Amino acid sequence: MIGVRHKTVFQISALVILLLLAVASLGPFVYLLVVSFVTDMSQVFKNGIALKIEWDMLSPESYRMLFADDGGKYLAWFRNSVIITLLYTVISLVLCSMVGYGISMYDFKGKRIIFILVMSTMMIPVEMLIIPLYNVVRIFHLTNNYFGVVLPFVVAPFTIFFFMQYASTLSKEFMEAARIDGCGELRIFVTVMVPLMKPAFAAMIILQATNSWNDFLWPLIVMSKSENFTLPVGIQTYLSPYGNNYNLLFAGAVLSVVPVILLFFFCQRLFMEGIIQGGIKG
Amino acid sequence: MVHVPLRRRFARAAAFVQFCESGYILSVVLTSTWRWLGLNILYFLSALQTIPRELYEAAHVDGANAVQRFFKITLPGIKPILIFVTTLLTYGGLRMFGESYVLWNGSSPGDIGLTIVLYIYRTAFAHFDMGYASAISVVFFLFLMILNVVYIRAMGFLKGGRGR
Repeated sequence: MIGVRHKTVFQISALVILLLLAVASLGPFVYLLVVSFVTDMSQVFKNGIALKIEWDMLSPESYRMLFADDGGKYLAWFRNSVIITLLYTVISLVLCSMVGYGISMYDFKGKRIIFILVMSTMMIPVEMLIIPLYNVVRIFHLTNNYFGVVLPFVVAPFTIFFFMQYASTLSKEFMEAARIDGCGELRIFVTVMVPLMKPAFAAMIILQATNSWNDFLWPLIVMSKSENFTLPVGIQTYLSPYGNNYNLLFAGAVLSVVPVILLFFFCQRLFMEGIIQGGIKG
Repeated sequence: MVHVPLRRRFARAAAFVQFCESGYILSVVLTSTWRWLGLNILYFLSALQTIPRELYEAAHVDGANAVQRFFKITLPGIKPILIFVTTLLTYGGLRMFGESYVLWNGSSPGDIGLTIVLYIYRTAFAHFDMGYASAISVVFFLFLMILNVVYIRAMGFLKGGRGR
């Protein structure tokens, strides 16, 4: 009897802690969403930050302003972000899955050296490379160009590593069988192995797409014209030393979260499988 | 331009101390902790799910209490992920750029919010002193390499084979 009571106390306290964590995680999002509908920002920032928001303060005015502002600049940023994320994710997945699969499934001379080279690039922080990379991008005339943002980081060592781990769990007998049926190596990869690696692809789509969507430092360096900014870089310009445009900032931030949430909804189950299979059993 | 007077270096060190004291560091820490909370929970969740339940039952039968079970089963079970997340977060903290840049618009009063990466960015792309910025990058890289060795040792990769 005591054991049962002990258990319920334990369960309730665990529930309370989890609820608090959930509120801590979701609270700012809810606040962002609510405040994005407030037009008169001086009400919100009256005494520090107001937590009392009344119904008649809410209106979709900020969103109208956002789309009208400076000839629809926000829409241009949105389009840039979408194009860069798509380019980055597609190119990255095609290249990295091939490299990872190749290293893990074939035996060839110098395989170990290639593996060590790929892994050692994982230890070099991206921030360190911004100066040489910027010079390279400038020499190739890729500043203010989508490919200038996409290409330098498109072959990501972590993604290669992930695909390698995932491919090593697949059986080589599939390859043998396909070879006997007369498949070429490329066709084995495309028609046999890619469908088998679907969870890995889903996990990497989410990871690469969110990384690229949220990336701030590199687009900030490469894109110098205002109409070429991506969303994070663009939204940040609403804060300036001459005054902060919180209306547009909040509304823009809310809209910029939407695509990521949609992506998670579509790939979430596959993503969890991918994390558990590829990430842990490493 | 590479040479920076000693006085200015001291000024920067003093600014860092002030930064720690004035609670600005806390605001950055809190925002980024909140930002990465969900992802880290996900990592730990997937690690916890790989620990077989039988271990806990066996320990229970052997009379181990909750604290013992935590330290003898749970902690060793999530050790790889614990180290992985620690590595990730240390790097995340050391290479923080966006938070500081957005909070202070690139230049905080008295450089209280200056991070290494922001300093590199500012030296290279605002003062156009590529050489000095590269030098900062290299020193930063060496520092990270030392950390890398520590973490790799902690993972047990250097003790031969794929031991964990």
